[in-house]
Amino acid sequence: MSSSHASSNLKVPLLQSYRRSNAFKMVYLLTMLLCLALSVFAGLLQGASSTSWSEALTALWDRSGRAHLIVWQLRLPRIAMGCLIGWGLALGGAACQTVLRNPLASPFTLGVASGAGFGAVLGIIWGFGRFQQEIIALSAFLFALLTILAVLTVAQIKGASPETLILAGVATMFLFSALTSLLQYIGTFEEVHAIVFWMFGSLSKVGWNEIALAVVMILPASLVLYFKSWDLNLLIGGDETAQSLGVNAPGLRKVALVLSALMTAGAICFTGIIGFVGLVSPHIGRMLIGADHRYLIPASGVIGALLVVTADTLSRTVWMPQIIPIGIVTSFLGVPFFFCLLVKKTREYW
Amino acid sequence: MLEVSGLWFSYGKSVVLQDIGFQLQPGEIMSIVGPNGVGKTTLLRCILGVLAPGRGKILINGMPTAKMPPKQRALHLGYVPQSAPLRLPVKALDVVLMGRRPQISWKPSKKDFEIVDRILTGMNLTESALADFDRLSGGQRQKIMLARAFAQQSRFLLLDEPTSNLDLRHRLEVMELLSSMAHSEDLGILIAIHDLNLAARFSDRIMMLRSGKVFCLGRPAEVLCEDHIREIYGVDVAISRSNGHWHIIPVSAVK
Amino acid sequence: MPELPWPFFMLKRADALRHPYLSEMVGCLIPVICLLSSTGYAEHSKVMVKDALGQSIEVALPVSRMVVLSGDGMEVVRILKAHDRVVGVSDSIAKEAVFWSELSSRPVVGKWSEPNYELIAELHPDLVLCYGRNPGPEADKKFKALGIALLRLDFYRISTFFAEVTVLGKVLEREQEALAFLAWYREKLAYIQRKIKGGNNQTRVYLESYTDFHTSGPGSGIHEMCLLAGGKNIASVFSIPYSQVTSEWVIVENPQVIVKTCVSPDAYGTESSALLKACYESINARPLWSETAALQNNGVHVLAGDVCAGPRAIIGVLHMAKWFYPASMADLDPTSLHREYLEVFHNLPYQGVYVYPEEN
Repeated sequence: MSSSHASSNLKVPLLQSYRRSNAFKMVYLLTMLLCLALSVFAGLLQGASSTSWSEALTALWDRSGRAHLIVWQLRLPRIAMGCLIGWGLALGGAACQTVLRNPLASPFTLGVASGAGFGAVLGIIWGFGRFQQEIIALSAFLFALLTILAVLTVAQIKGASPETLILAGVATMFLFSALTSLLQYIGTFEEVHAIVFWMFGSLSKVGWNEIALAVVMILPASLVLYFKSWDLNLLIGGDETAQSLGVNAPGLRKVALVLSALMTAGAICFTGIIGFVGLVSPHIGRMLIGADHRYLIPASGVIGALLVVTADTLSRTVWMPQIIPIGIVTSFLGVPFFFCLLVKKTREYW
Repeated sequence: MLEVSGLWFSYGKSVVLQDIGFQLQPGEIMSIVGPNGVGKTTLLRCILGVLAPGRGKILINGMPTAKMPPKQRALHLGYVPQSAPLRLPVKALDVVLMGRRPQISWKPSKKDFEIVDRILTGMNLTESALADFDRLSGGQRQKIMLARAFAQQSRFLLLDEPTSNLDLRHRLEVMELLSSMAHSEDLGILIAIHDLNLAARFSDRIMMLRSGKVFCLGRPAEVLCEDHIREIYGVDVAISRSNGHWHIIPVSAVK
Repeated sequence: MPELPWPFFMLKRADALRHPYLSEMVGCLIPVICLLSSTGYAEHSKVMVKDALGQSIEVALPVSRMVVLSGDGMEVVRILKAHDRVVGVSDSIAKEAVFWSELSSRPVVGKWSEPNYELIAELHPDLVLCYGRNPGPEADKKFKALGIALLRLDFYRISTFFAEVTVLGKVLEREQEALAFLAWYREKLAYIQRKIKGGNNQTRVYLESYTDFHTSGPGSGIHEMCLLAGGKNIASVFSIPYSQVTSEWVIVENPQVIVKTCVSPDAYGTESSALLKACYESINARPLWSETAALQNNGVHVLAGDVCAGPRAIIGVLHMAKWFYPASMADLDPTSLHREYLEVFHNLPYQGVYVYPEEN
């Protein structure tokens, strides 16, 4: 019919414009991936040993020689874990910020980090024996999930609105912080020592076993979250609008929180508390790529990984031979970059 | 057909809606009028499924909506809130595309774009389509939200005061659009509205609510008379009709 | 004639000698002799000493009742054989029930860093002994208000240890015991110095502190111990005492000996080496560490925290010296010297687990 013929002529520029703006987003995403690859590379080439850059490069596939072992057993685990952690924390932050509609929301502000810290402290004080490191990690993980359980229980009684969840989360955070402080207070000097250093965060202790476990906890949850991208997009418009379009808003909120807690707990239970990444990566992602979660979720993850890997490389090289704990460097790195973007942004992105 | 019968709703102990019942046919426009706080928004929310009624049934084509999963309900019911959400940091086209969500599995298909394009063209919104939603004027935003609801292609549309925040021209445009869509696409439209003149001009039937109950329900000519308006609003009005247009002019408040 | 005190007897004798001013001179001597006589008179004297923070503290002697908050201080008090004067202890001392069995009836007055001032006041001690930095400066004011002297001595760093033991000996009027102990201590250090003198190669050592992957660098007590034992700490270039390290750095530095300090509560009362063994195995399990000389030559040793600070730090140093220079120190038997320390200075039999792997 003539009207459909006419409309097909008009449709072309609209669809094309839309596709073009989405193509830009893909380009941004690929550029970020490239930056991540570069930073991974740079990290692999840096280290305390006198391995030269060309040696490190060939060591990636050349099995003979010490350089191969150094690169594969010592440097690669740190960097791989750094990527995983950055990805997991960033996605956790993105999920929390969207479903709670609050730019300050992250699993850390909901108490997940405090719970993990408390669990780790319990492991440090009462764990012993060969498996102490595993006990600490397990305890940190369980208590991190416990905090979300507490928050969700409140939500079950009072309804899962963003305000309720945030308040319940903040209260839980203070509770576990206080419990941790109490344990530090009654602990011996050596225990306090260990607790303080766990809180700073460290990638030194991770090996391929820990990486495998972290992958199991982080990657499937990421995929589930990604498949809910459309529903998360709708949630931005308000609960009512989302419900009218077929999204179960309170249910989605609970699922997203559980997923983000899982990813965050899986990240920090092995390495200690690495802050700021979960809060700032999604914001940077929004500023660069927009609020469409089909692009925002991978972008946040890549930015988070980039932040952590760069921070690790800097933490190892800036003050040689000492190491600055990674939890400290992520904040030092992230804050100035974030300020720059805040000052320079032209449109509202939140 | 959308059928509501015996609907009761209370917020805690205070009863808001009592024994509401009516039927809405596709192609029909029905306005809900009444003073502030009488329960118009609550009624729409109950039908939508956001609030769970204490008692009563809501049926679409004979099927109870309470048993429907949200996605299925979204295929039947569309909704336009009173004002667009505070922040929607996406493009206008993305907002309209959101309306296709109940039908989209992963990516919007060509058909989805065709539908959206047709709607935007019909509403003269193609220039604003690729602008940021937050940068549009209030009137344009409301029209984009309307476009989103149309894109949903649901049989019934619920609108909560769609004209309250709009200027004179946009009010007229929106109501004319609703009227033409109701007739051309055979949509059943339920509007909660304050403006009695617009309601009178564009509705097929008007439901007047008082203290949470249905006061009267019928054609505008039957329902809109000085006595009813005095009873509901406590205002004396002068009603006149010319050229098929209604003029309901408030005169004075009743002491 | 009734028996007169001897000064008056002297006076009578002087009269008999018929010296012109002899009686007056002897008469003047009597009050002087009384003043100089220090036995049998309950006069309170004072001493001025320097504490761990360099402050000058005035302590009234004698100190017959004291409260001890620091575990290391308590150990020195017992070395000086003044432990019967202790009327109150901190919870960390009470927790080491086996090592401090004779103090089990003493009341607990709070934490080593947060004492309960009321409980202490009730015990009316003459002196409270605590660490230099804990409890904080508010304790000075509180104890002054209560009229109790506060003496801050650390004892956990060997460089200041000698001066502090001397100070405590002076305050408790046990200077002989202090001298004897320090002489014993110095002799052991001198032995080590003699044996490693003239040696060419300093053993390279990696010191790991209580937290995994954190080394003890300059500024830490363990670093001092390592130096006294003649070892070269590969972290001696660091500027902070407890820095994180990477596996890669340790492997590149290739230490010959690794000493890990492990938390072992009340090592004296422990029979099981499970804790120390776990530390040992965790180090051996680290990937690529098997490339280091330390792991290849059985050079990994775990040291319990109790012998790394306080008076027993010398024991830690002796163990370290033996690990660093096994050939030169063949005659050195740290365990028997440890036994000697416990029997002579604490009147306790030797027991407990302090190192892993254990020496034969």
